[in-house]
Amino acid sequence: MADTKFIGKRWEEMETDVLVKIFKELNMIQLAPVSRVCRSWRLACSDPFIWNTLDLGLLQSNFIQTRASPYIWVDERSDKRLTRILRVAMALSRGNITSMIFHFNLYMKDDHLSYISEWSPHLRRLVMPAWNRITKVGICQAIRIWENLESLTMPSIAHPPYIMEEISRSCKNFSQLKVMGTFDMHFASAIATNLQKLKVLSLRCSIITKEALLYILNRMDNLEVLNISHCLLLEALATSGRKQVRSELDQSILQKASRIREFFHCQSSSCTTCKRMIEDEGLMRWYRYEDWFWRRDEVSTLDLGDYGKLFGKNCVNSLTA
Amino acid sequence: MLNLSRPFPYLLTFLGRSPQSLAAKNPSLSIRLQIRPSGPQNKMSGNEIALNKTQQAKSSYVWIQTNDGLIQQVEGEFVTVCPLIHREMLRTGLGSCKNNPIPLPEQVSPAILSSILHYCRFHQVPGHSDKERKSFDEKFMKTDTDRLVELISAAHSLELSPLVDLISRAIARIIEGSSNDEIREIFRVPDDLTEEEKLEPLRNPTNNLYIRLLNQHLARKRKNMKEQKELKNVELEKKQEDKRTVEELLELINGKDEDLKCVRASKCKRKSKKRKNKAQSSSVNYLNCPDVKEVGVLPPMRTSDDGAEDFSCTETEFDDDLDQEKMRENDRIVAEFARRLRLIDYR
Repeated sequence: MADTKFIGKRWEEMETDVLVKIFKELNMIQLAPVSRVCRSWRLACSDPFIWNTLDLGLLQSNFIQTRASPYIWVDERSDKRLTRILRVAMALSRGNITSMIFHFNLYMKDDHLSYISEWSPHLRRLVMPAWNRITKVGICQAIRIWENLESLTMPSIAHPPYIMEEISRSCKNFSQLKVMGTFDMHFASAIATNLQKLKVLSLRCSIITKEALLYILNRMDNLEVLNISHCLLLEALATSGRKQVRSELDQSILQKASRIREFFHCQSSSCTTCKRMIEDEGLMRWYRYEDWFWRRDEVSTLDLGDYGKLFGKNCVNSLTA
Repeated sequence: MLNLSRPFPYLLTFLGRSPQSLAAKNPSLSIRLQIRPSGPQNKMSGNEIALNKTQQAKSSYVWIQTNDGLIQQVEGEFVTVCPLIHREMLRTGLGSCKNNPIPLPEQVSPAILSSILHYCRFHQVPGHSDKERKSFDEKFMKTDTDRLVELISAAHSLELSPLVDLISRAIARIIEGSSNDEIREIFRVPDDLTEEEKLEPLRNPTNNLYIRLLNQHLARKRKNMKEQKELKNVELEKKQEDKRTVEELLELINGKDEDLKCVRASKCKRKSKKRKNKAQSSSVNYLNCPDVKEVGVLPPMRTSDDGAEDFSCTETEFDDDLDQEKMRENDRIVAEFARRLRLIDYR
């Protein structure tokens, strides 16, 4: 065969691009031994093409709800498992991760957070809807390291100003925020004060007070995309006993929103999601619905799409063994 | 060979036929038309020319050259799905005749090309069902790993991404099911990570104190391993020298002239060599002495070549007592760090 003389050359020079494409088909657990085959393979294993998004959306903590703060108790095995996974991911990715996605039932601790912030300092997008076990100090420290952070998906927290301040101080390119939970004046004013440069805001499937919405519409001059689909718009937040008065998107709101480039809203009685919101009385119980349901967003840049191959269902199983 | 210079298209139009329609009606004619973009008569824009070429390519043949120099024709339909050939054709104008074939990347041999053509020809036919396509793909992938690697390299160089994806998945399945040794055998890659695998320094992005100290310890250990190797080399050299002296001696003994003198000389040689060796070994011991501290020095990143040393022994024995004491102390500290790094939630 005339091509025998070429074979030797071909083996050693199997292009990194080709190796990266092959390794993209493997999950994290399979990649770890592959990174120990030889030098060129190890380099290919940490390529950004594979690691640009670390989607751990299939990983949940083993937890129970408690009556006292932080209202969640996670068993140690679960924490250790998370540590192991993060360690493998951080070691293999070599700082190339730009997006991290976590499940709303993954309750990580400050230690985990500081670990991922130290080993992936160039993070640009964080989706972390569960902050129960994270302290203020912990999250602020992490934000300080993540100077390139552009997009954050967070739960609704009681006192938002500290986090907004930290973001405005450390993250100069911050432009996208998604809040999952209740959105009141407190939140609205914190955002308006500290995140004037915000371009994209999604509050889908939350409870919003009319006051807060108007405040945002009035004060956020740079807002280009606003998503309030399937939200319960209330006149005011109910104090104990009083029934909540639901509001409609009236002309004043629609008029103010007209200047926004993309305004997503949906308050229809026939929409499945809206029906679920009403049924759950505004606090959407994501765990009751499909796996992918909480990951959707009408805003394309916030929608989470598929899980990717790095951490699949078989990874969870192989780790609990 | 038709020399299709400028006048020809006009001749055809004069005859009442456009070059394109001629090509369309007679695909087997292998019309090799070369449209020259420059010139006052030809007022077509760049885009139109490209479009023309593409249209012609679809119904005509293109000349290509594989890595062994062999020139052959391929049908236009293949060219339209192969971005590299298509682009080269548009950019350079090559491929229209046997003398000017489009050179394919070096990964494309004739055998591989025929495989790729087989794949593309099957999938280009619109009549196949999804099931048929899937079973074709499975059959296509059932080949030895060598061939798969050749195929993927060639497909990648030709920018045929669907084929690359297909083969990636197949190779990934092979890698999944094999141990590292098997992988090294199958893909014939060198085992150049042995020492680093074990002693790879952890990256320290935020200058964590513990990681720094751990790296220092690893650097020390690596240095000691290197010294061990040097020690071994010195011993080897010693042996060689001895060998030589014996041979010389034999020669001298066998030689007739000046026996005694030579023997004396060689004796002196041996003595001086012994002295030299002693000096060397003492210098090596000096190196072993850990007084030379490297404080705050982060070991070089993996890309720097420490020399791929193939140490089969993981534990190196130190004769120096001082060193051992310090190593034990360091080991204790390191074990603590390792524990902390492994179990982050130790608190």
